[in-house]
Amino acid sequence: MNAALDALLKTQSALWRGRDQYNNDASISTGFSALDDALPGKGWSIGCLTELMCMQQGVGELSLLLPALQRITADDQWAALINPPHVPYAPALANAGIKLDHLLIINCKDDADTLWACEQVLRAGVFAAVIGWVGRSTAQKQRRLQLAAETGRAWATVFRPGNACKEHSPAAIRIAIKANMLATRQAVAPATTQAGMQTSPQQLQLSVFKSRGKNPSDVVINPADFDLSQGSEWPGIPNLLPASALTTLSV
Amino acid sequence: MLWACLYFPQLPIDRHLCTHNSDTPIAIVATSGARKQIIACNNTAQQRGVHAGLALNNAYAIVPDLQVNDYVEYEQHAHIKQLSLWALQYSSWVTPRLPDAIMIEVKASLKLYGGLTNLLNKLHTDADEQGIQLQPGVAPTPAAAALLARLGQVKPVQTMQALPDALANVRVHHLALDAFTLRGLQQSGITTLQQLRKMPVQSLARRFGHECTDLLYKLYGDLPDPCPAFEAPETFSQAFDLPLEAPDTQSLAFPLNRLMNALEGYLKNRDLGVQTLVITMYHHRHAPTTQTMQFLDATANTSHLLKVATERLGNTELPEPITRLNLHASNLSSIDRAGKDLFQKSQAQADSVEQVLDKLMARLGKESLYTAMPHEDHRPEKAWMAALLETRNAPTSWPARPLWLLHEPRLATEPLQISSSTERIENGWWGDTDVRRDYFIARNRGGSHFWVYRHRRNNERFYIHGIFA
Repeated sequence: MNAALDALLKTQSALWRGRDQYNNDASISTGFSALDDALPGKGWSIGCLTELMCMQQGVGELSLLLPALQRITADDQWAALINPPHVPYAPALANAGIKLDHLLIINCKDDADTLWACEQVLRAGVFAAVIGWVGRSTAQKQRRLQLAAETGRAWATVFRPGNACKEHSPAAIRIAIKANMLATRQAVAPATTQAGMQTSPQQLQLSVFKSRGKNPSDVVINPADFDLSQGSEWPGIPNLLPASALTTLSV
Repeated sequence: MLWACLYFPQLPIDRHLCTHNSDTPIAIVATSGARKQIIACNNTAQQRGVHAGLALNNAYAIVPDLQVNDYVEYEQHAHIKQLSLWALQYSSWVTPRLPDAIMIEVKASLKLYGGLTNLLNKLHTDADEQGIQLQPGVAPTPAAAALLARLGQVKPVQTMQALPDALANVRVHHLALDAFTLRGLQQSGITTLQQLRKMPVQSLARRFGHECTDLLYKLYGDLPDPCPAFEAPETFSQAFDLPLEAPDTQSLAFPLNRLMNALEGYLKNRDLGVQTLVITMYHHRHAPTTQTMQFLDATANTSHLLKVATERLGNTELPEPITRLNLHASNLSSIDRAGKDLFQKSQAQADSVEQVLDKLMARLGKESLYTAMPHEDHRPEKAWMAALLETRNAPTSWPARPLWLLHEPRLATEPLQISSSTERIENGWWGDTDVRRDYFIARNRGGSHFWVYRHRRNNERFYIHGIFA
């Protein structure tokens, strides 16, 4: 069977293996070895669109990108945040070692403007990293972004709402992000013992469900692996906290 | 000067496009008075004995199933105009000679095209692609070029000195003179141009009028023969009446190609690229169907345009067969052709950051773009400031700060669990924003982390001020 396949692959120029094609693509390391292994080219692909589908905010979705962003701005290359949902907070970014004068932030009125700005910035070829927050989009529009990323040879990332997982998209890499609660369920229940908090906190679960040239896979990242750009208190290393500080609130 | 006359002997039938090789004999008929005469026919008809100049009745006698179409003068003129646009890519000096020829000055283009032979070859190839028969004639004077083209003489005459020899044996009845003159010359025993040229000019003029001597002078370059240069219009909008209704967009490939060829010459001549292309398809009863194509960069690459147009037309639903096709190019702008680095691998022409910022500001507004800079202030909302293209030294590292700061703090409405010690921030008592808050990191059921605070005075309520993303 395999021999027949190989013979076919050799003789037919129109047939090729998907995984052979993108192996040599340029990429920038994510800073997380588990994630690097799951991505083609061992890192965020340059010249490809990556879609991150985020079920909820505040689980470390942006921290995932910080190591790569830090390296890009440190090289005096430009990065852009397009239509961020909140104010990108300079003190935290500075903590992460990002050169803030090389991080352009673009606020947009609506999704049309966002897509337009993303495309312009990607196509320009001077921004090494472009991160956009896009709500409603279509496969056709995402394809424009993918093409623009190819043209500008930029690392393009688009944050989409969680339900965008179900949509078809021509993005080369698609990753769904969610928090994987390990021990917190009993901890949050009202009036639990505070000892519940002492167990290990949540993990970040990334399911790379589309990856050009690689098989889909799941990656788990421990928030302790984040480089603590937002402060060592986050994401709550319980041992450092005095027990008196832990309370459960119900508002 | 070196003139090439592009003579299209079969233009009326070429208009009918792909019919050239069809099995049905087709002929174009012109009416002069009561007489109907064949002026052009396709290959099939020719093989069966039909030729130009034959009376229609005689043609019917030879080929009873001959399909006949009327010659439409304005269509032919429109076609010559489109061909003139097309010819603009070979020379900047193009003069249409109605009804079936175009003069172009080729001396200035020889270097660009690598010699006359190459240029003529290219003309032939491009004409073939459009399905048009081309019979060029090259001579130093326009009149001689036109004469040679009509004679079908392939060998170009490049110098004034060679002209008399080249024309010596041309029969006088090929000259574009009226029937009376031609008959007169024949009766006088003058058959070739050489003989005609030996005649005393005064007596020729007295007998046949000025036309005869003028033509003679023009042939040999003794009398100016002005060819007013055809000027490309400011906008490009060309139409084509289909000889047969097109039932679907597939059959538009040929007419579209013809219009695209005209567009190519036009764009090359004016050194412009097109950004918006509108194709309008007219129907008998329905309102026209329009397809608009927008291109991100101005392009003059018509094969690309044609590809995009064909793709787009393939997906178009037609309410009725198409009778007329119009191609309109708007939004013409100069093409970005900045010198490319020989070793530059990147496909993109890298703009400078400032150029990109300009473009973005033009649409989004100046205040939409900024870089965030830390600011020396302990109050969270004042700890950053927007700046653009400025560098500021960041203060020393900060304690736990979220990546997202909410524009406005919002009341926490879900159960939260605090997972950090308190950070008290008290500042700004002298101004409007007096801040006395205790900040915590808190986590909700789903595992999201927030930066929350409560006021020192009124400490029942918690507000979310940031998100640890």
